[in-house]
Amino acid sequence: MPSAAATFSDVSLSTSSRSAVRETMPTPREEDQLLVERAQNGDTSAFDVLVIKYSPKIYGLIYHMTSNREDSSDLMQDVFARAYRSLKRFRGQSAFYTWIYSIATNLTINFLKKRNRRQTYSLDDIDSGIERDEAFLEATSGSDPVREAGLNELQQKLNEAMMKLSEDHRAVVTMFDIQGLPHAEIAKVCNVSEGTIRSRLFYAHRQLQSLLADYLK
Amino acid sequence: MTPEQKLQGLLRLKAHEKPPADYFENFLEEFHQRQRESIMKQGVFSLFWERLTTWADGLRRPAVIWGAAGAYACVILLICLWPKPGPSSTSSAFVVQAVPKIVPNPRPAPAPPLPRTVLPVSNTPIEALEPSGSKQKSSLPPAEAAPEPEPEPKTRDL
Repeated sequence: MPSAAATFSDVSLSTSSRSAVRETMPTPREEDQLLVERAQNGDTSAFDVLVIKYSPKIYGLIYHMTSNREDSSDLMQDVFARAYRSLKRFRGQSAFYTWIYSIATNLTINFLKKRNRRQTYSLDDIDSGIERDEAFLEATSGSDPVREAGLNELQQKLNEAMMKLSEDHRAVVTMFDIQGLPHAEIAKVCNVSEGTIRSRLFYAHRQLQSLLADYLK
Repeated sequence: MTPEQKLQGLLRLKAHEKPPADYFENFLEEFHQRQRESIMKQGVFSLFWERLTTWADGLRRPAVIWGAAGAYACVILLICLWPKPGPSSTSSAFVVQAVPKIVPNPRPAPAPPLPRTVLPVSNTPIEALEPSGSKQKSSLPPAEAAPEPEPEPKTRDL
């Protein structure tokens, strides 16, 4: 049965080669570290790769904390400028994304404290994918007039509720509930314990539940 | 579905809020442009100041460093504000300052000349001059022994 043997050897070869490839392929953290080292040695194109890779996530973090797209754009410029200037001191003790997330979080919290009460909403458009989202269908279906107000109303309500949270609580809710980061990573970004993160989430959720009670019935 | 799960579902909807599709494509170009502009605008001092603040921000993480620096500053302040003791203090540091400098005298001062007085000489024995209880009185200091007048000594005719 030559064909069967050949097939078996092909499978075994492909399995071993796949594991070999897996061994040689760098993890995302190693990839980032290589790019950081190149950027530290003066290769600006390596830093550009990092900017392209992380700008959507950093933008999301800042935008959901400020609810203002113009402020988010300015802050994101500041975050990457700060990261570029501080890159020489980055020793790789944490992942690059943890490091840049903490820069973004600190800068945004400082900005929000200065901005204080003069907050204005400038919201991004909602992509069409939301109409297929189960949570959206759940929230907007039914006979309640508030629910029937639709997409824009819901977006406005969500942003208003988020802005009523403290800056620290908002940061944690953004990273955990919207961006899906695990507790441990958020703890590293915020430089606090995991217990503190869980506690902040608990109180933030309790506050949000009372603010969005109409949508949670 | 619990209210907690419903809330998490609602919050996940916020992830659908996104900037225009070409936003991130243009971001890098804008970033480069802003970097160039900021370098052109900044003076030497402001560049130095920014570097300094960036460096100081890096120190924020280990709070122990700031704690130690604060404690050190407190100790220095305490030392500076500690009340200084007066000249009567027995503190060795101040005794050294309080003691005047002794300049050694190369020549000792000459002794004052002795007074040339002629002392009266008496022939009477000492036992006869002193009464029986005078041994105790003589042991007293001269100021206290003064009230009792002494007998006039007899001068020896030379």
